[in-house]
Amino acid sequence: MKRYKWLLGLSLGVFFAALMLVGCQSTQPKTIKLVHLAPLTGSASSYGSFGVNAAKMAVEEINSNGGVKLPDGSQVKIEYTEVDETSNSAGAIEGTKKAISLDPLVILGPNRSGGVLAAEKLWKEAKIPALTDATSAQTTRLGNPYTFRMQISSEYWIPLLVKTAVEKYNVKRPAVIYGLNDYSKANWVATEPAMAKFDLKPVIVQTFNDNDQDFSAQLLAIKKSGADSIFLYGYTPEVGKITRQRSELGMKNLPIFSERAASVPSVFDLAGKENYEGMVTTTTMSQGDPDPRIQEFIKKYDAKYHQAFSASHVIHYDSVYIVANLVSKVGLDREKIRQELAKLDYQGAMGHYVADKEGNLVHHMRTQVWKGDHWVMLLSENYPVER
Amino acid sequence: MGFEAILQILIQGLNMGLIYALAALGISLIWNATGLFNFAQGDLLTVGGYVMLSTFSHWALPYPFAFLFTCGVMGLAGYLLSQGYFFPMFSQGLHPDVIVIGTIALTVLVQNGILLLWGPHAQRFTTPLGDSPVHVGEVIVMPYYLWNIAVVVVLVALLQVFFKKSILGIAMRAVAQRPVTASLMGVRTDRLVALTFLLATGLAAVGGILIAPVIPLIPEMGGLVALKAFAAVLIGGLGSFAGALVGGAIVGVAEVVFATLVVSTYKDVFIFAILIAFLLVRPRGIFSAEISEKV
Amino acid sequence: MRLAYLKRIGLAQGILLALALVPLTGLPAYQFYVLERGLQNVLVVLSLVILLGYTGQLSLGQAGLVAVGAYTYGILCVNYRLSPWLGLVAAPLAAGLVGVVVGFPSFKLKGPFLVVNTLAFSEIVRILILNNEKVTGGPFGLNSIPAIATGLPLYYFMLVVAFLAAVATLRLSRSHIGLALKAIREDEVAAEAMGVHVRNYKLLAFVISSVLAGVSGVFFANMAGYLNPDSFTFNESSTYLLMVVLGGMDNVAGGILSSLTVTSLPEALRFMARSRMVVYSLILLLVLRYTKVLNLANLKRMMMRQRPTPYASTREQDQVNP
Repeated sequence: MKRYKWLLGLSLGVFFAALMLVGCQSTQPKTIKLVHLAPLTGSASSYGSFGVNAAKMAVEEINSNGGVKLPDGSQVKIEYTEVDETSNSAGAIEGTKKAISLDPLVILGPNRSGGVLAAEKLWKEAKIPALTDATSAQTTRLGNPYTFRMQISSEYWIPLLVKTAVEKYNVKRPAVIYGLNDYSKANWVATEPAMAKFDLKPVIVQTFNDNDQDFSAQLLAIKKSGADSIFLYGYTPEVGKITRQRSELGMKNLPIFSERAASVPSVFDLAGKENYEGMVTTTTMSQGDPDPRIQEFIKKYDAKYHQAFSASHVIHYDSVYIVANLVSKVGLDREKIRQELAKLDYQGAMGHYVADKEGNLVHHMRTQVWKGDHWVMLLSENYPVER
Repeated sequence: MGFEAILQILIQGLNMGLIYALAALGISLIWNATGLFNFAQGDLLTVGGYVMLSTFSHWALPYPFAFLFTCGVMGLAGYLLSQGYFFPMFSQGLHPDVIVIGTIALTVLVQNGILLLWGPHAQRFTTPLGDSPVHVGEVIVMPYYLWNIAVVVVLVALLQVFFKKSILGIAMRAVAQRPVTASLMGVRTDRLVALTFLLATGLAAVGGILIAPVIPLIPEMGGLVALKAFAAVLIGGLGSFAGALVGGAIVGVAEVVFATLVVSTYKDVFIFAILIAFLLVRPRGIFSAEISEKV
Repeated sequence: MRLAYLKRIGLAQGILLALALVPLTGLPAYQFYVLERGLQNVLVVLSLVILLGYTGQLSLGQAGLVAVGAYTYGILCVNYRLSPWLGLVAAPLAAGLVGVVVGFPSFKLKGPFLVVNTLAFSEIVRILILNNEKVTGGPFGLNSIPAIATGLPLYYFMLVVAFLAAVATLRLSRSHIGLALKAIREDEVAAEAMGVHVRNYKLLAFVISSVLAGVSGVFFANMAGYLNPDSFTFNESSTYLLMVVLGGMDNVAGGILSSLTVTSLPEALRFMARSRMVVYSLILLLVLRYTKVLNLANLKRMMMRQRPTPYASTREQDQVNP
């Protein structure tokens, strides 16, 4: 035993030292602590970077103007940390635990529905409000008063998409193809009833798996069915490939109606200019919106990051401003902030945010179409707020 | 089903099958020379694609030059990998499973390295032949399909010539069959193993270059291609040239056929079921290796 | 002989005992969670110690078996409202059954053939889970899974189970079953010639390791309360394999240590933001490369001033076509 004892002690010591190092936190002055859970690695990582960039931009703007003024007159700055929620649910749980350990005032994110479902009990227990980003309807129906949604649930987006297809494109025989993941499947679930309202039925429904590389089987089936349009729900690589492959297989004339993941710039790169032309997507904010506040945001983002971005993934810019605004009203109290969030009525740069009884904060929806080299807004609707 | 529809499916399937075949070739090469099953082959393929992305797409070098440059860089990387990492592990007499797991650790490194260097967004480039579909009757063929086939055919022919006729190739086969005897005959085993790795990574680079117009480049692509490549190499026959090609074709076509005729969601399950069936009944695959394993 | 026996057990026991004292150190909640995850992984690592370390069967399919355990538990508790304790018993059995199916082809397969076989099975399990939403929740996952215990009681329960599993594994190593398994690892033909029923013992190894993996799955379900097929992929399987190899394949104490270390390594590296996974994998690669120097058995020999040896006896280098 003698020979092993020191080795044991050493290894354990090193191990715990490492762990302790991880948890090292020095005492700090008062700040508004924001932790942003975003997918920085893994398959959803393209979305994570936009959200983080937008949020950081807001934080820097506010801090450079001196920070936020508390009701007691003092000024505090925002302390912003991003935590990788990875792109799977175990990662979301770990990321959330890490976020909670940083003792934030408010959590931004998670981005993925799967992540929200996996981790929501955690912030409920910790009594930290979370401004989540996911679109599947369930996430705000779990009876969690700390979950707020800074997105549109697919239940509302899809009807607008279908309406756009019918009113602007005269769609009569839609085909639907969706991926087998939480985000896309939720969109499909909302599609059937939405189509029924317009007396439409999909002529064919196809599915694919995430990380599939070839969609010829599904696309050929769609071609055979004589559909006049394709409703496509999936993540970036698959949406890009399908958009391209449909043209390759002779269906270039079929317009594609898709959801926010399709407006990510990399889909444009993947699909290719000619194939992406005419893509219709839902979004919370359209770059084609003439509203001066939105155009100003776009200019600022572009000047700072010099990259194209996906409009529906940058909403946390306004999240930061909302939190700052609430803090200036009620101070650094989580419970009070939560109560304020529950009755929110705030005009942000990208829209008007009103809280409904489920905690959904965003009600302004748009659809947009890509023409040439820019987005053109099509329909714009606010869905009713149920208090 | 119409004749054209069948032809279309076959073409799609063969297109993917080519890529699997290239990865399978690389695996077989390394297997023959060292008895090591390289789990990182798919990821090396991905790196090749990304390097080409940088040279051809970002730096706008002309296609042939970028092609050769990418293969050269990847080959060099393979050489260094062999000399610096794998061969020392062989000569230390480390447990073979450890070395195999080394390749698995390599996949993690490569995937995250790609993420770090090139970012998470899916990317793509295409051949100078462009992206306009070519219509042959009712059947639609993309220009890069033809290019891919041409490249693979030429490559395979070159490799056959290399292995049968050139000194280096014969030496490599000697090392694969009888390493001790080969070294007694003055063959530098370590150099040749390194050369094998060089060749295998070079092949992976070609695969990556050819795959990019077909499949979006994402950091995780390696893992996805790898699974099908493993199926291809085992069904075709581990260690066999023809086996890699035939296995790749079979996997590629079977995938698409199953997805079309039955249901697309379970096409991977179908491929794996075929793989398991082969493993149960004829593990050495369709073409048992011409080069015998190291005993 | 007795003393050596005690020494051996001592190390693994010592580590687990030390873990029992950890909650008293006031470790913050997040770090404690990471430790718990490490502990949950210990069971899978033990399963691989038996399967790979003792029997020499390389498997990349453990994630699938963990998934079977976790989902069986989840489905029984959520859909059929069974008591979690019943789930705890049923899930590992289910995993064991699947283990029989996976192990069956192993009779004839060795090396990469076996690995790919296990990998294929694991992927099939994952895809089946993903595509059967009515039963498993599919991509939406399985939520609100009742737990046997939560918080500290769960931790101690897991610790006790891990302790028993570790002791059992060590005992197995010395038992005649263990010797038979090791004989298979060294030389199947010779083992068969010496009267070891290779087929049966291989199957046994698969079943035992599957059961252990199943228990680990139950604990995963307990800790997370939510299951999603994306937690049981090739990445997880390869991580388990890395853990057992880094621990010195047939070394129980090493496996426990490396499970704890490898689980906490990405967390410890979080400060590196984007590059943390690259550093993590580099560390793993380097440790593998220099594993002769680093492994416990060799350290012990070096301490006793002996020359290092490869830590498994010379195994047949060939992967002969079966």
